[in-house]
Amino acid sequence: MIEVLSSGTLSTVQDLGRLSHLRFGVGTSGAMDQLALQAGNLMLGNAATAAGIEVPVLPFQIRFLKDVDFAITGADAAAKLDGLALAPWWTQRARAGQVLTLGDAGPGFRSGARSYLLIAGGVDVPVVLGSRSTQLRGQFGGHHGRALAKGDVLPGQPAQALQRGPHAGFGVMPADLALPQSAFFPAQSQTAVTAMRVVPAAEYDNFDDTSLKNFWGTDWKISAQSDRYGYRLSGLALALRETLETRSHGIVPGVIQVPHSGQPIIQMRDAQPSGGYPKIGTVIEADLWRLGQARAGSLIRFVPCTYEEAVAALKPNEAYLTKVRHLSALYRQLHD
Amino acid sequence: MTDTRPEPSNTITARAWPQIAAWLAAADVDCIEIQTGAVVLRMVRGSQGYQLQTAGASASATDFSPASPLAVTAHVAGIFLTRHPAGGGKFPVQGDRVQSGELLALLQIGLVLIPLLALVNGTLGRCLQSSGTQVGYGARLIELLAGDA
Repeated sequence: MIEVLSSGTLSTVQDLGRLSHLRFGVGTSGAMDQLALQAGNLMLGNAATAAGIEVPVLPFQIRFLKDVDFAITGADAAAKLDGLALAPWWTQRARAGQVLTLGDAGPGFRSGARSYLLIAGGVDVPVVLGSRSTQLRGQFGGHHGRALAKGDVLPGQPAQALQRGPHAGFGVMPADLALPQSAFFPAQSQTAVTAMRVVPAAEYDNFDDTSLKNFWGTDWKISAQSDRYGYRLSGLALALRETLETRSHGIVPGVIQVPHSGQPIIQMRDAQPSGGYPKIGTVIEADLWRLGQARAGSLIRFVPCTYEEAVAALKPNEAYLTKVRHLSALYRQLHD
Repeated sequence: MTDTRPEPSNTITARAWPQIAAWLAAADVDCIEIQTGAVVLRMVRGSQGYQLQTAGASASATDFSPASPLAVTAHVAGIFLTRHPAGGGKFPVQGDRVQSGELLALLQIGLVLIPLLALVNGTLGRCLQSSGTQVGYGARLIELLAGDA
């Protein structure tokens, strides 16, 4: 059980999302960086699907109300437990009364957009439509359907016994180091760019040649008008060969729509489940976590990918999580 | 033959406590209690490391005297790292004051990163291995001079 002592805007309870209700008009929600959420859970011995807290804005501070193991993953947040610094992607035992602070990591730290706090057993909020994720637009799920605020008390799963394990905790290699984008995007000498693979979508061939060349060949800046609903990009405007009439159709997180302005919008976890703008591509599922950690103001680049490559790209992610699960369990066993 | 070695002393000097704390931590022991006559000494693990509690003694034994440097050793084999692979905030370096429980360095085994902690308050001494070196169990890694400033 934890108490929120201070929270920036839009810290929410999230799990892997509401995956089977798009047909009813209910968006997926869920963690923007699903690898970080799962890895943190696996470090604790939780199910990968357990709910945790997504923290997009720092500082964030909680007090543990009982002894519990916790994990911090995602963006570096200069985490401190009662003033003692914790390394990134770390799990440790907290004693009742101890205070965990996620602060601004500051210069020298890797950038990232969201940190995750997981607790042993998972955050215990009601399951709504198959998920504990907060649905901000619909104001349901999570903790009373809203972002966390000072004074909120979040229970852990009941009867969660403290696991045996290393008193001083341990860490795992962060996902972006274990799964470097250099595997599909050669290192650039220029400023840091987050790369992600994209499969062409239904209206891809309706864009003119210059637009397609620019779509793949230039950097796109994530604008300040970006959030869990969608990332608005700025760059060289994309244009259709001719006016296109489209009806609204189903969309999922990762779909890149191009409105009349020619500036793409990538749908994210809180996106509505339908839209009518032409779709030029879709960020593959295996790379959505990279996008979820890309900050407003940073640059991204799209790398072309086939459907078969997109499916195959899930395997390294799964292998990473499998290793985290096995090695974490093994390390805990060694301390039994 | 006659054994000419001196009789073992039953006195625990103040400088021995940091080493005892290190042994307890390595063995994952939360508490030991030592009784000699009317004096009871208890070494208990808290959130910030080990503390001595005394009963029947006139002076607290928590004032560790500066001693010869303790060595933080490898409790498992792994790759010794003086910086987290993700970069970010640096770990303490030689001459820095450190608190008991403070993270000093890491041992990497595959994807897992294992902490090397300061077991007592003190001052960090020399780093005895290069970062990135594969080290074996028991390897001496970092010197730590116990004692509060």
